[in-house]
Amino acid sequence: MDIFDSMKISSSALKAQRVRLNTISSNIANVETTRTPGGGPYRKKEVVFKSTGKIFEKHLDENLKGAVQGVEVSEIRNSQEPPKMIYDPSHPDANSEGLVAMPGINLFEEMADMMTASRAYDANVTAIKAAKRMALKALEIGR
Amino acid sequence: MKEITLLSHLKSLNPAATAAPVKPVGEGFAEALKNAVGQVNDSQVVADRAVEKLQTGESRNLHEVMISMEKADISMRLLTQVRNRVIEAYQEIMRMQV
Amino acid sequence: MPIPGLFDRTIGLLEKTLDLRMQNQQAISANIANVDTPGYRAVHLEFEEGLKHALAAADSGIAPEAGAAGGDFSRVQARVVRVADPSGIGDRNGVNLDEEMIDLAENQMLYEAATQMISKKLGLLRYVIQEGK
Repeated sequence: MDIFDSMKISSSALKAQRVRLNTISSNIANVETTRTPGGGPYRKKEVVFKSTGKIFEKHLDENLKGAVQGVEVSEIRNSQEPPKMIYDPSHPDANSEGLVAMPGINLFEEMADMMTASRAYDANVTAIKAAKRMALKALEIGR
Repeated sequence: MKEITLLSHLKSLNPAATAAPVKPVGEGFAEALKNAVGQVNDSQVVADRAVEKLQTGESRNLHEVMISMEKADISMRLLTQVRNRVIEAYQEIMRMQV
Repeated sequence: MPIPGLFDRTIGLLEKTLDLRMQNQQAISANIANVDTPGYRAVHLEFEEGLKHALAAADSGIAPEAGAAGGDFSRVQARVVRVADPSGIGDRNGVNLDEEMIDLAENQMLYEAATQMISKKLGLLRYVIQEGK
């Protein structure tokens, strides 16, 4: 059993939450983007989290195998929601009816998501600190 | 003032009636040592039980455990030092030229 | 040379406790890491009951030989319990982050307490063996 396994789990979460934070930043930055290289307005990006046992090689105890897992971003996908149509005839990308296809990104939603990601990130940092302290304490046995 | 009669005087001379009978010196010390060892052992047991209760979730009283461990530790160290002094004293006595 | 009875039952208990609490640290880390994973069931390890039973068995069981360290703790195993989200709404993630943070702190504290205690007991043994010199 490895103290570093615990830290690897937490660091997998740090990486995942960072990816999530990046997507949120991208969404917030592109809230008004109507033109993308692939054509059409910017589509909101979403991350999908999945538990993974890939980070351990051999150390995990028998009774924990399969239960204790890290996390990874399994995909960054475009939102399934259709773009929001706004009436704005003066917009350069307005269609024949004066409607513009906007990304439909809700800023409040993105901010709330960002706070959740930030809180999860902090929690994982605390977990790493706890694991590190425990390891250092174990080194002091017999000193 | 109490009356001093011949009877009361004789009674006080009787060793069986003396309030604090004086035991032979060797026995008294052996008793004290046995008590000390017993007490040190008790404090060890108390500390062990406290540790068990903490780790099995019966009690989360951390300072109680730390204090009883420290007490047991100090008692044992004191007893060891006393033992060392006693042995030194004994050896010194044995070295004496009679 | 390993002398039977040199390391008493409490030292055995503390050794096992350190193992179990390290496993618990991994489980809690996994829960915190998966706080946003949809459908994830939180992993909780139960072992305090198991330890209590091992102690009780040692107390009441076979009469110990003189000086033998009673209580076989090596067989105590943590029981894995998976807790799903009870509310049935949202992403069905079973992790309660606040509870996990408290468990993290408690487990860490008890692990460090155990290292301190085992250190103290071994230190005392060493002192006595060296005759306090």
